[in-house]
Amino acid sequence: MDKLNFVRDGGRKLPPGFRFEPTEEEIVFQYLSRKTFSHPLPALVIPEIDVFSMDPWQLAGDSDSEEDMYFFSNAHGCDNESERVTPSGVWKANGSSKKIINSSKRMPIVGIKKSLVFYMRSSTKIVATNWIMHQYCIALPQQEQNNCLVRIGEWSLCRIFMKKGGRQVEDDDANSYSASSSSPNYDPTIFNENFEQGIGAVALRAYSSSSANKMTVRDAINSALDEEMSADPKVFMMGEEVGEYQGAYKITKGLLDKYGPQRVVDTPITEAGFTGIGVGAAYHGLRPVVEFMTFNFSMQAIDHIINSAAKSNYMSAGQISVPIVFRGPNGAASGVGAQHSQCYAAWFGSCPGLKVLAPYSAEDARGLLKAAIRDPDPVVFLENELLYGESFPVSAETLDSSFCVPIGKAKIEREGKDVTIVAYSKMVGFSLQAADILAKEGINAEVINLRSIRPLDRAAINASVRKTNRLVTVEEGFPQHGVGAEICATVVEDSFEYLDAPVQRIAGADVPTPYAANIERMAFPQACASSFPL
Amino acid sequence: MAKIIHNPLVLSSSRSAEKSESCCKLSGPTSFMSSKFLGNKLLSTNSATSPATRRSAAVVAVSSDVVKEKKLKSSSSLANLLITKEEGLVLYEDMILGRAFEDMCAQMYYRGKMFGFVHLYNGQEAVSTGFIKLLKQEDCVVSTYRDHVHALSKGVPARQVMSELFGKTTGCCRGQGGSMHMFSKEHNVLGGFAFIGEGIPVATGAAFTSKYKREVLKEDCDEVTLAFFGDGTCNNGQFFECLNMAALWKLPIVFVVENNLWAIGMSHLRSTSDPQIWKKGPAFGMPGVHVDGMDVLKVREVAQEAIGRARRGEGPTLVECETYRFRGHSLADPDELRDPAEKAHYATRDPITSLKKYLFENNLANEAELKAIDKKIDEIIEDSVEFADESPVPARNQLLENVFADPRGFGIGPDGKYRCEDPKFTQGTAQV
Repeated sequence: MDKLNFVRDGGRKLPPGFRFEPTEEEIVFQYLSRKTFSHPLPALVIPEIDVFSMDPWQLAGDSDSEEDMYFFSNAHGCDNESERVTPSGVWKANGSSKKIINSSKRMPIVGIKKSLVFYMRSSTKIVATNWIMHQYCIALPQQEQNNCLVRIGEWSLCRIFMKKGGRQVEDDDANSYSASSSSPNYDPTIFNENFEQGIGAVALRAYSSSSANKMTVRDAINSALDEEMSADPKVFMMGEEVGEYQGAYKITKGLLDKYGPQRVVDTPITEAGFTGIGVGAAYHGLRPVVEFMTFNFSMQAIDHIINSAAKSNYMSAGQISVPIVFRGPNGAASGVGAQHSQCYAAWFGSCPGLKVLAPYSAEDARGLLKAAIRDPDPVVFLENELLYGESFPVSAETLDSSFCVPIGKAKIEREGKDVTIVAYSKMVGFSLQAADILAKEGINAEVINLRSIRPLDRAAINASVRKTNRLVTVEEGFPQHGVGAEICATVVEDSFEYLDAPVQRIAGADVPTPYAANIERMAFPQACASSFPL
Repeated sequence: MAKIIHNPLVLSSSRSAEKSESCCKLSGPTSFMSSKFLGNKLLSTNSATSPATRRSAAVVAVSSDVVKEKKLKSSSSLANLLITKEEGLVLYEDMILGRAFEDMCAQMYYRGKMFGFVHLYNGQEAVSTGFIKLLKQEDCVVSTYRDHVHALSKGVPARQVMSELFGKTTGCCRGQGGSMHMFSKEHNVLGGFAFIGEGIPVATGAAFTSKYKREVLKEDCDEVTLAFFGDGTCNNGQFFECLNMAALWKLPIVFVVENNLWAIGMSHLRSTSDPQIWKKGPAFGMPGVHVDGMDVLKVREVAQEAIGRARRGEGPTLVECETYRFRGHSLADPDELRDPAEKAHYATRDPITSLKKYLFENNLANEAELKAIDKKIDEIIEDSVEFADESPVPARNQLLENVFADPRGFGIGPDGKYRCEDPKFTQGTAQV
């Protein structure tokens, strides 16, 4: 499998989905750990350079951007306070170090961050510049030596940037060495076997479900939650049965053990109450992920989703943003009856201030959930219970800790030229099956996976319709005022002359979902050959 | 004088005359009413009702007793004044600011400069001042639609609040929120909610954050949150859900009930099976305290105890402040259902006049100083009206601003780029 290399000429060119703004925890526990313990990184996002062989302004290579630069460099300089010389000057440490602890896991490795300033040599003396380097190394407390930290590994990760006016360069407190807690407790079963590889369960999980890199949607969501919680200590989960029960659908399995009950909070059965609590926490600086056991239960909390979450950034004129994610299974399952089977994409999709996402494959689930958690706005993340167990092939870049899928862009799952089929969530699978059946009849269908209900990727839909001239929308929800209706209106408004035939909407039946299996099947779209009697 | 006001609640609604008689027979409302009987004297024993009735009723929560006993001790000695002169003047100024501001709002509304729903706080200033003046800037306040005075007490400048009410761009929410949605990140006013009961979980969430910061992020954080809401809200499900979770997780929050006996036109006694709201606290495992909300000093004492509890990490408290609003529910409410005798009775217990009296009697301030404060506040209010008048209305492009913190949420335009990057979009001339 090809290693994806996003580094060219020393500069980083990431695909649109990546948001490479790693937190310190992510730098240490995702990128640097893997490099140190020779665990292959899924994608090359960070080049290897000896940062002291060049001057800081030369390190940017061809790229002009003012972004922070990240490099893997060797770690020898981390041990002592010596100055590191470059062609035109010298990097001097400003003396303080900061310890970065993985507040989540009980893993002994610890990150150490040093700050350095670049001084340029000018005739007789050296002058401080605005170039700053943060150098991260990994260390292990040695129990025999009184838990003194000893650096390990060959690599350090360096972040180099030019200090701008308002940016704060932290005056790291050397006292942070004596920081929190307890002797490092770790679970020997995780650690002993893997100590040679040294990496915690996260990296293993990313690879464990794979043979040739397939991943179930459940694992995708679990790994995304795990990595986001590990990368940012402000992210926490809240919902019914997310903790000790390991998740009503086992999505949050293992997270309670890793992050503790303060960060994986089991709530009483109080949707309105705990959703409001999540919103209040988001107002005040945390990043909650609120799970609804199914989105049907979100109706008890819909006041908070719409009125206190979606509208607040507007009502407060930008003072209070709400970086919250509401996630859970949406739509029909199998035989669960009318009150557990409704699809809420259309309801939430009509509300300004919300972002509404509906993943289909494992790559969608991982990328969209990471994008949602990192997003500063309220996001409704509509999963599907029947997709949880399905396996999808995943590309290498999907496994990277910074992988995000951009919100608002649809994906063309299958290119075609005769008709466009637009769907989201489980219906994408059905559409692909239908496309295969149509192919046998000589019809080449293009299938678009919306991924994002709000904002809707109108551009992609219109571009496709202009190519194929026919449109079919597929959804599980009720037909009136549904997502298909909006798509149809959009296409009629923007691409009317391109349509050769009226838009066809395929939606669920306009009835509350029945229980009996045969009529339940009739209540939702199915993919089958045209002559199949229902 | 005290005897005349005996059993004022009976007069409260001529319609429910029969009801009020039956109410008298219950042990609940009787002691409730007698609280006002005692509450009239500022210097006398504490805000809770006669110790006898309270003790028997409060068997359920030991901590309620503890709070009340403490208060009995502290206020029994006259020589031990409850406030210093500076504190007294601060309290006076804050209440006058609240009152003058709300009166000006009424004037402006009738002149057509303010519109929509405006809910005034006249008469309830003691609760806001008594509680909020004890907070630090980092502490949070969450309120309902009757939130102008909460915002002012917390420190939001009067100019910004007035501009917001006029719908000008210099308002605290740039004119986008309005009377019912006062937000201020700087002063930690987390809203201003139109739905009653909506603010309570949000406040509980802010308290949750405070505890999370302390225990998970290991920051030095002892922020407390106050949730203000009314008597009608106490019948709402979210209230009970949050009492449960706050007590379960020992969150640093104080639930302050501003019981003004009326929810628009619905009397508290007609809508509640057990009108004594403070009792609902012990049912969930937290102390429930009842205090005379027309007396700022008593409110302040109780507040000190409750906020102290929360700061020390001992958990939430439910404080029921018995208060009254002098005006109708909103400026559009003709206020016909309330008995004029009831209104008159409470008018005699105006918190501002009570505080004035206390200051004079204890030689903490003289007429001149208070008049100076009155004048100062008048000038502030005049200035804020002028400022709001002269401020510009929002520009066209403001319609689409602030919907998202990340404006890429408006999606991708026909040219394949994010729509927020299109200059016409930000100028407000693009099609949405």
